[in-house]
Amino acid sequence: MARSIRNLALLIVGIAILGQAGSAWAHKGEARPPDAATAVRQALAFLDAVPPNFGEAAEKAKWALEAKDQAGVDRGATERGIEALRAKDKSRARDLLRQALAPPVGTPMAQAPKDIAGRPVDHRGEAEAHHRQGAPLDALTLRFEGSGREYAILAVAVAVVIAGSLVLRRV
Amino acid sequence: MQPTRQNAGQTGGNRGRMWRVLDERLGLGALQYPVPPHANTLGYSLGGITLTSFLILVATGFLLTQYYNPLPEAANESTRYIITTAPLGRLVRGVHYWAAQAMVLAVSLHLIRVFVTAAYKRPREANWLIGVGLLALTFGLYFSGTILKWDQEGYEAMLHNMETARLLGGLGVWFAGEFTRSVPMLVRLYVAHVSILPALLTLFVIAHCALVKRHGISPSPWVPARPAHPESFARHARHLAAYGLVLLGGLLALAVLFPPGLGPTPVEGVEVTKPPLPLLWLYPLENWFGLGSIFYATLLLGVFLVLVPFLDWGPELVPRRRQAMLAAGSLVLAVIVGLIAVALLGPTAAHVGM
Repeated sequence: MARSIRNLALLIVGIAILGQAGSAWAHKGEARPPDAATAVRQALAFLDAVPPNFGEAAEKAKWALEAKDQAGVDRGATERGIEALRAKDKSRARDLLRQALAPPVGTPMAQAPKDIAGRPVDHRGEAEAHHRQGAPLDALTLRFEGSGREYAILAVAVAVVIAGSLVLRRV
Repeated sequence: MQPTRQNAGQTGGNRGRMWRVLDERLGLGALQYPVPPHANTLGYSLGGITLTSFLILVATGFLLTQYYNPLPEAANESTRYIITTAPLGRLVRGVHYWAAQAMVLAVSLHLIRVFVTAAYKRPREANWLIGVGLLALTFGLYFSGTILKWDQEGYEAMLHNMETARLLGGLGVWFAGEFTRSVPMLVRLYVAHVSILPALLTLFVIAHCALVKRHGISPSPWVPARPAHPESFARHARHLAAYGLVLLGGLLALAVLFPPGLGPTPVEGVEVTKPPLPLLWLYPLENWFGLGSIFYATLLLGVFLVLVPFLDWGPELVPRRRQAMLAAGSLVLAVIVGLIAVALLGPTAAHVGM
């Protein structure tokens, strides 16, 4: 029995080591986005990942500065965002990159999204269909707030559990 | 029909008359068939709990469809609307989310219970195969539901769906984006989630239950084959309803205490999330062997499950006399758990040819 457990533990450790090695191969083949706005949004996605990936985010933000199509992006904010990413200051980097996607009035706007109703659908572009013009909408994090309504629902939940338990005892 | 405790108590009085009136018109007497007492234990009620979870999912899903917009440009924002504005939207979505977790957990535990007690043996081989189909449909519903919220995780899941389909060529054509260019993939997955998969699952459940009635609830390896005092199915159904109430109360509490959030609107060209826990075991395989391993690993698991009743053909039910099969099942389970652990500990990685 102890031998089986040891073998199983060795197997899991082996898989874990392979997993670490394997993940290093997986970043091959990422293509540069054609426009700066998409690259900045990608940087924000890496910043919002759990845990945040500052290195990849900085790389994407650099791509944004090098992209041919600079429409819809504030270069200054992007540059300051890269500095914040290098300093691993998530909050500041996030603010600056979002600011980079909301350029001052007069800056040329990014290309309009394709009309999915009338033209052939580009499925890869579905994510961008609506959000191409600005920063992505933030994650919506919810938690128990302790409101009266929540406590009322909890009371109902407890009552339902008790009712079910009583029926289980009776039948 | 054999006499049972239940129908013995329904012969007189108003209750008896009411029963006869209803039975004459609705054929409720068909529910009075005998079942063994162990059917009312939690282990033998996991199928019923899975079905209850599905019914809760259908009910909450009806409400969610009133507010959800499956067009890619609106899906994420309509999900936000459900959470922040729609009446009871946050609660209903929370119950839907937790019911999905409960269904996946219950169907997996049900499968393990059937496996350990050898309930797939003659004459129940066909019902085991239907059960494997139900497992696949449950995970199909879970996967498509993951996509519909249309945050970064959902978007990446859809890309995996499409890329895997592309790798499979002709076999995956129905799941590929190229199948039709007139409807966004997200809308097609929405249709699958709210109509095609639930309809198939309902048909499979009907067949599954019909065969359970036909063959009877499977014997337990640890109790005598013919109990002296069988229960009636009607009483078993009341047990299931009670378990269902406990489940519903638990889901309500979870929805309030741990409400599911929503990720940011998706960005193309990056992969920064991992799949949810029930699908997480595939993630390390994808890291090591590429995208195709999702399909091949799932196929391998499916083939193993399909072969179970044919590999373990003998009449033995007691686990200690079926050590080879139980060792094989334990190994499969250990590998899945190990892969989940690896995925949880490892970093995120890109796979879908950005």
